Amino acid sequence: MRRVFTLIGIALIWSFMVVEAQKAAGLRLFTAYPARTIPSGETVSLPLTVRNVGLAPQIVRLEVQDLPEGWKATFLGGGQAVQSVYVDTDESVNVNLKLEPPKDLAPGVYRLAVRARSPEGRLQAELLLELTVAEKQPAKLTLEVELPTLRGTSASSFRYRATVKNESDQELLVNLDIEAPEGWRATSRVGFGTEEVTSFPLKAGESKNLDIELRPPKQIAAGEYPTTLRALAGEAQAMVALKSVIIGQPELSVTGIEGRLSGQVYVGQENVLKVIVKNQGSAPARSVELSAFEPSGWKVEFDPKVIAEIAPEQEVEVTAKIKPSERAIVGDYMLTVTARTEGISESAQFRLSVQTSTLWGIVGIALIAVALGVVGLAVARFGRR
Amino acid sequence: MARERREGSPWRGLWVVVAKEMADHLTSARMRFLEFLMILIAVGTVYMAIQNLRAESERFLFLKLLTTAQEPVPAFVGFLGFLVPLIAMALGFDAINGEFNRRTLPRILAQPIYRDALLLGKFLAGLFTLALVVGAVWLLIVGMGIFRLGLPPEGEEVARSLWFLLVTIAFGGVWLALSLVFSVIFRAPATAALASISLWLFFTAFWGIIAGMLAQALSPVRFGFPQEILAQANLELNLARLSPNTLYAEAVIALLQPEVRALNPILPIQLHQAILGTPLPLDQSLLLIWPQVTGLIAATILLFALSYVLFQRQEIRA
Repeated sequence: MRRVFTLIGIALIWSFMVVEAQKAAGLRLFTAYPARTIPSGETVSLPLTVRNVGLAPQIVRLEVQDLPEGWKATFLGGGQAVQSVYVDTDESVNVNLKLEPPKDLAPGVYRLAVRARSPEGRLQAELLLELTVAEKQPAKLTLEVELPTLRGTSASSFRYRATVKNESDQELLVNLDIEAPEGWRATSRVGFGTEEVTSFPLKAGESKNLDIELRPPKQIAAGEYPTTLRALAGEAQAMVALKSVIIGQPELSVTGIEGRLSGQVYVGQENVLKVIVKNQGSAPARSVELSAFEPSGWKVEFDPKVIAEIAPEQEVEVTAKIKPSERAIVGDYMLTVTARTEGISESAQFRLSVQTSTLWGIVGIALIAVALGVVGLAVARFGRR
Repeated sequence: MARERREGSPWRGLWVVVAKEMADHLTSARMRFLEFLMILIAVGTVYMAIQNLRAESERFLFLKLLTTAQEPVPAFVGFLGFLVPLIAMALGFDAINGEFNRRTLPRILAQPIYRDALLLGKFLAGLFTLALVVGAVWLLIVGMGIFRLGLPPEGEEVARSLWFLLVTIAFGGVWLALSLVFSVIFRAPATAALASISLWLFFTAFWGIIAGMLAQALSPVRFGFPQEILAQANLELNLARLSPNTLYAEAVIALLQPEVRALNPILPIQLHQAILGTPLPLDQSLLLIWPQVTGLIAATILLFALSYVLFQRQEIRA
């Protein structure tokens, strides 16, 4: 009985060994991730391993079966396209399978098989691959502005901070389009750069800060001015509305008639100089006060002294009555005329030439006439016959 | 003394006298010396001035020709200030007494020429001769200026330098009339010449000092107020203006330096906000010096009137 058990035991071990040997010997072909999702339209590379288990060294041919239509498959070994590999006993060789799907690949699951076999076809190994092509995510941009409404005067510049974000899974080339009111100047900068940028690449999931600057034209009426900021990338676009509110402001200018800033004045007389005050701003200037910085001893009076109101783009003529000092010397003097309203003041410098009156010239000629008269008298009195 | 009316114009024969006297002046040896001196000074000073002016290019270059001095040579106007009186005195110091001494005066007056015409003719001849010399020198200077500077003078420069010429002649007229007075008073020409020269020296060298002393005495600065100092300065200036040299110098400065705006002392307050360095227009410069110009002309006429009266009262039959 004991013998029988021993026999059975031996038989079992042997059979087990045979099974083991049968199970172990042969070709293997495998990859770490046989089912995977690939990005659409892109070339994929899959690492494959061919292993010879317990067989004599041999050459193994590789081929792809059930390749979907339009796909291209290449085996790469050592950087070259290969068709077969040589595998030593109990060794393995790594091969890359390069798959080039067609450009317009429909989403779905694609299956294909890779087969490795010895030349006689006696031994073979098969690997099933399952590739899932995901639905392509549409390009998507978002655009946000921190403070979309700003206020300022016609002299200020309006700066908006915006953020553009690429919410798709691919890099996008973003074009900026600023639709500003007519006459406005718009500049866009990216990040903290100083260059003006209108288009820039944006990686998937990334966001960038934009600095949009709007400058109104000098001559602009008070009011609200809308601007549309657009970010475009292919079919994706994002839009945001900006608003610039111009607050009206008076702006004064002082000049003479026909822009002349010079005049002639006579000592001891009241001289009249016409001064033109113009409002070049966008709001009426109220109670404009005129004053002068005159050479010492001079008297300058304005008529009217205060202008009640100057509408935008209107001008008012003011008469300045100038009385130079009695001791002013002939030649040029500087007179500064200042117009002031609500915190704004504007001045102009007039060059006044002091002239002497010709009265003294006549006195001098009279003196010569008297001297000639003396000669005449002498001739009459002392003339000899 | 019963007076009778004269027959005909007292100035008959005037131009004959002028022509003869000028011919005498222009051919005389003393004029040769003076002309030579004048030309030497003109060429010398203007040449030096051009050397100085070369570098700068600004307005009124031609006027600067006359006023620019380079050590050791003074400016042309500086020379004129004493050369013109000398020429004038040289032309007039023996006008009447020379005729006396040559005993030619009765002979001339035997002609149908009044004493009036003789005296005025001698004066005008001297003045014209002076004008001729000064005018020739002026042309010489302008010509040298154009030649060396390579540009023509501006209209205003010509106008100003012509007025300068006129003022120079009027200044010479004063000294000519003065020497005429002395030539009537003194019989000896040497005495007359010395009298003129000493008076000229008095005005040139001493009058300025005397004016300063007089001003200190008449308007003393007691407390050091600015008004007192100003009053004294003004008095000194006005006293100095009794000298024809001062009048001439002021007139020349204002004419040849258009930037000059005043000849009297100026308080800083008068210059408040004044734009300095800008030239005055010619008419304003002329108005500035008009008292000086008319003063010189009137002085000339009055001195001539004096010589006339003295001459008419003189006994000439010797």
